[in-house]
Amino acid sequence: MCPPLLRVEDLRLYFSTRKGAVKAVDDVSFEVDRGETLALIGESGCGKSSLAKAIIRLLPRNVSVYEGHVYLNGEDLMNLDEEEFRKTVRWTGISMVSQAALNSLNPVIKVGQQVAEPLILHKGMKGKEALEKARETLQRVGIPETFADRYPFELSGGMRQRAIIAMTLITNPDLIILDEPTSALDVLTQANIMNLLKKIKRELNLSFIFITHDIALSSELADKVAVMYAGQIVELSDAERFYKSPLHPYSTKLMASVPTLRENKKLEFIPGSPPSLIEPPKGCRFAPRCPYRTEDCSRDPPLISLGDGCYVRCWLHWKG
Amino acid sequence: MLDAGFTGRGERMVNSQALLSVRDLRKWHELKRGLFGRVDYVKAVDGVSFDLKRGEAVSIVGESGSGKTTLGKTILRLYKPTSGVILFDGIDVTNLKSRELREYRRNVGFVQQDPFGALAPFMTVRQILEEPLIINKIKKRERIKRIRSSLEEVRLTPVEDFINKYPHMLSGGQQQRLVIARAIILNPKLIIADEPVSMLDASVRIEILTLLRELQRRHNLSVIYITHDLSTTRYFSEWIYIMYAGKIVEKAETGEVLSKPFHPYTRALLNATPDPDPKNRFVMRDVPPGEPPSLANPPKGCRFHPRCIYMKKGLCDKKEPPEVEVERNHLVGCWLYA
Repeated sequence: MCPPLLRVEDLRLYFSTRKGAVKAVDDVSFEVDRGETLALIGESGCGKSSLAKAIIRLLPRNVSVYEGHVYLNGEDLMNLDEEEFRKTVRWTGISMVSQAALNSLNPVIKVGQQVAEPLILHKGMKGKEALEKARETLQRVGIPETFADRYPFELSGGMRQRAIIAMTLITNPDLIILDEPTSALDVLTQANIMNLLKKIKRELNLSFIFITHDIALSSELADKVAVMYAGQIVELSDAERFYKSPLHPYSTKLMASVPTLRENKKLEFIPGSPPSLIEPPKGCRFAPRCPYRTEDCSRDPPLISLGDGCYVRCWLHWKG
Repeated sequence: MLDAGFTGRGERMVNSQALLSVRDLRKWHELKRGLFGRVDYVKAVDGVSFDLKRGEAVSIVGESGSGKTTLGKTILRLYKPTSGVILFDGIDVTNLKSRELREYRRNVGFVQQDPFGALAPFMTVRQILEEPLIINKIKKRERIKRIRSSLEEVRLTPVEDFINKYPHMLSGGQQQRLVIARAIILNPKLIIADEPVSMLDASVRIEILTLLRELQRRHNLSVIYITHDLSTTRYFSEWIYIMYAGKIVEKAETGEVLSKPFHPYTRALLNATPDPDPKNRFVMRDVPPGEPPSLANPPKGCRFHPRCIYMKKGLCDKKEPPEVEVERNHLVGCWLYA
């Protein structure tokens, strides 16, 4: 059996601050297969973006703990040093569209040049050839070839986002991390970008990790869903199962807070606020806000397997 | 109908059921002044009319650049209207000045998008809430009473735990509650909430919107809820007005707009807004191409025509569509129904 495209095992990422260590990613494990999209959802501050950074190893200076395993095509990336990682993984194996991507284009360099840059830097391609490839890729994402000679300010927000997607595609990576790729865009533009992502997912059999706080939007792309709470994945589930019947009390409550356009339901919210990542509650981290908590919840909840690599981290589902 | 009788400042209107009436309101921002007195404008609000009854909430839905925020700020009279009439509680407030304007603003509370930006970082909760009371010359004893009760209304309780805190010590949701407390402290009749929850998390969003809804019902407040997010409107407003490029293109009761949208733009918005459903990943959404037009130079005729699949040449691109009552209380600005 061939290994999954990406496999993350017991990944931890702590930051040191004056107040103590922030446990942004705390014992996270999951797999992503080729052609599969994992949606990573959760409220702000739950560690979604930190997890992305831990995978693509774009870390700030104040990291105090960075451990665990990240296997890409069976190879443990944690064994690579910074230089090897940059050369063999970033862009070529895993690329990323970050939240602030819209403003990350250089205003004084033509769009085509910028899209071609990863090819020149990471694949050692010649300028002219790379530019040709850039035009091709721009077309693939729905930008007319001629726009390659324009500057970023001449493109609308949606177009710029497309150009950035082209940039991440151009090196043929196996996995693309999309960190809130549409949160700065308007409703219709967002729908257009989601259409584009669906199209390239199908055409190129690409894998995505799609990070978003918007649960309705996550269902536009997700084959699997991981719900994060206070630095941990509390539920990893198949999309079919998750959107119909989430299992973890946090997922259930989160789902109940999503307003729906097509049906009228009773909206709920979760009282209280997420815990501090410096000193998270002992045992289950959601327990203080959980309506179903029992005495068990003061101990670390077990990972209950749901088959297919899916699991839920909750005592309620413990049958042993 | 409205006529010249209203233009007299401060004149009282007897037969008005509506708390707020807006007629043909325009707000053009000056862009630049050219040679020979030529002036270019950004026509952010360009001919908007509606009525809002006491105790009712209306959602004004539009994308960025549709003019929805300018509309809110013009009604608040943070901007001076270019033309048109704003009647509030039977009084023409379109051109009010200084003292009378202050009087008017006492009746209208404002909740902005970014709560932290709306709160002075160097003031405590108590100072923030006390300021409007001092400006409106309310006695000290009464001030303390009001601060306490408005904090209780937004459930920042126990009051003692919050009253001496600074904004940065509060969570995003609590900050927005504080902004709401400030907006209601002078007992306004109307609240204008401009994207009050777009910076908050899913669950906190519902918490804040539920709070606004409660306050609306308890005090019979009117609410203008400005948003880009159609999915929340079902739960928090009686009416939906859809705004595109400076104009309202569809007006109806909430359920009507969501179940029977008429305007092609409204349909596109509904189409583009997903509900959580695992089937979504297999379907492409029907989305019109292009981007909203520049408000400095909007298209002639119907402003949506360059993106509209039903565009009739020689009509939609030439003449502005009339507002048609397609069903009772359901108005659509589109040639398809004229």
